[in-house]
Amino acid sequence: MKLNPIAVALAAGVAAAPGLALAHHSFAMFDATKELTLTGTVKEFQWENPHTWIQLYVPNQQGKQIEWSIEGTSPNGLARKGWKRNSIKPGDKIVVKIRPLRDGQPGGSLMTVAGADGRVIGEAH
Amino acid sequence: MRAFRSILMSTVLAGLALGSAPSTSAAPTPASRDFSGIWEQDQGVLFTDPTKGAASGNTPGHNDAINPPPFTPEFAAKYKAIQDLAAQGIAVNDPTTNCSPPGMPRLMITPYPFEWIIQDKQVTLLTEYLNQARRIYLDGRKHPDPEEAGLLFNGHSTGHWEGNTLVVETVNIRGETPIQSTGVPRSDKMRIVERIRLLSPDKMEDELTMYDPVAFTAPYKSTRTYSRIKDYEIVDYVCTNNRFYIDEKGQTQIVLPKQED
Repeated sequence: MKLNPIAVALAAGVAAAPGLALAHHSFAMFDATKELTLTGTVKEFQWENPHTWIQLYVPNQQGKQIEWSIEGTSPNGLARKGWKRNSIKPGDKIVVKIRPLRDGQPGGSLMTVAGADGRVIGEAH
Repeated sequence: MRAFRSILMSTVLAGLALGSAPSTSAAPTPASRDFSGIWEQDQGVLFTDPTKGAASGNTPGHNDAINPPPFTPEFAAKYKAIQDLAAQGIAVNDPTTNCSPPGMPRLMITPYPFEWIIQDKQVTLLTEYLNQARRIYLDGRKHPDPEEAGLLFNGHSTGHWEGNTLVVETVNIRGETPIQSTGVPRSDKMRIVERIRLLSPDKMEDELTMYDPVAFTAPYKSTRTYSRIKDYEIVDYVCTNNRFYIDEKGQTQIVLPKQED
């Protein structure tokens, strides 16, 4: 994996790691001490069990579109926070905060999603 | 809907008073025992593992079991090994990654909703998790001999009503699934007693006491609450949508979609 996705995104500093999203698997592979902000275009919002996923195109420094995979809680868990299946749609420009994968692959655990205008669309926990 | 049900029940009761109720209808479930409907849990994990890498979604301020179970030395060592790996970002000891059921007691702490079906002789939880069922027998039957019947992920549950509290005992539970997603081990000798009741029409409590003579030195208790979700219908759960798998070392790995050229 030659990508260095961390370098293309704005690291928003080290947070105090409050509880991560309610989930049915271990979070060991996500870095609970890091928060990463990604600005990109939605490819797909998979509103499915066992977990929701946002597939997000984010340009790297060379301008190549890298597809990030961002895991959210279950649909019922997000629904409880006010999300809907169509809260975000393909083509939407969004800003996402995640706990990144520790191994450097372009993926992470969803924290919040905002629109390009900064309006919060949803929080994962 | 609830108001409608109350009206319906009043009508049925009025009918009974007049002696005109249909002879085939069973006695209505008292509202204080009416767990029927769809519920989801309010808390996160049983307790937050001390290792930051294993933090997994605890909702602060809600859990009464803030400590790990009182492990025997053998299981304390197993748990420490799991936590040491988690601190390095390595998740182990979770067969649910490969689509095994969560089993008891973990089923009751998963984030997915359950639909409760209340009948005189059986209470059934239809779970969104893997779209399975948990059956609690109220007909007075005994637990089967595990040598003959084998062990099940959800074990064998029998129950009875004490007032408006459903008291359930579960035994014959398979031991390989950890009791929460952070890998917490237990044995296949666990026995669980649950006391389930409504705190209000839309709030349910399940007080679980876990007895494990092999893994724990004392009973381990957790009191959970659940909220009724009225505008929700159970949906599909396709485990292979899961992007995780267990490698040859028993460690959880993630597979992401390939990048487009």
